[in-house]
Amino acid sequence: MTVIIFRAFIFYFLLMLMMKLMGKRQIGEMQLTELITTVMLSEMAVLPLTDTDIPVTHGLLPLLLISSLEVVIAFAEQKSKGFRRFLNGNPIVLYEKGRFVEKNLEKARVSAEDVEAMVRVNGYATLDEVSCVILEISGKMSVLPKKSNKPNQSGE
Amino acid sequence: MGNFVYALIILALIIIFTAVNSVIICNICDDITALIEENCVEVACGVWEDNRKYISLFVRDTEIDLVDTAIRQINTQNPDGKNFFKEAVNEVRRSESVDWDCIF
Repeated sequence: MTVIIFRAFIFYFLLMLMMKLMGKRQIGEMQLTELITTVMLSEMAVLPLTDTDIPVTHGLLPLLLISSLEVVIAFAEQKSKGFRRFLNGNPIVLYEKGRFVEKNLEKARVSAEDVEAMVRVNGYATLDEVSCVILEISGKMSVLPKKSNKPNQSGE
Repeated sequence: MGNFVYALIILALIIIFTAVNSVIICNICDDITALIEENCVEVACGVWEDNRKYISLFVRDTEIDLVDTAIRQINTQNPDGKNFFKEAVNEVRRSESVDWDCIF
């Protein structure tokens, strides 16, 4: 049982590091710790359900542990800007002042075509209408228009 | 703040609960092993039966079944039964002890 608790700690932090390495694109809508918690909780809940050889405590205690860790980490994120930045990173500017920021595109593992597609999804025909594109910490891209432009609404 | 405190308390309780139960189960297994080595096999079987339900809350069924099978073999006068019983109890102890090999 103690081995399982140790493993729960190890896998939690290992998953967090792995998700951080994979970058913002994989995380999508969720914050890093939320994604890890969701994935681990669902896997842990399934094991004692499908394998009756496993005592209930082997599923229950790690579930409680991971949930509590999530609350503690979320609280620490809220209280410490440095810790929040370490976990979630910073928004990355991908396009500004009329050109792509190549260094940031490489860092975020995003291509220029991805950025152009996101600009179109946001209702702009070309990059000329846009002042900058930012990859947020959530993994979504924000497209900010030039002052004179606004996105085409559907039906116009 | 409230949830954070509750989470910390739950974390601490889980760690303490797990540690205490691991120690208790390891001690029970050590007692059984000592009784087997002193040739008090029937007493060892009794200790196992008394604690079987509690141990089964924390140990996998395959390991519990292994010990039960070993006890049945002792009852059928199998000469290797005593050693099998001891090995099976050691398996249960190994599953509860903090062994870095097991963790990794």
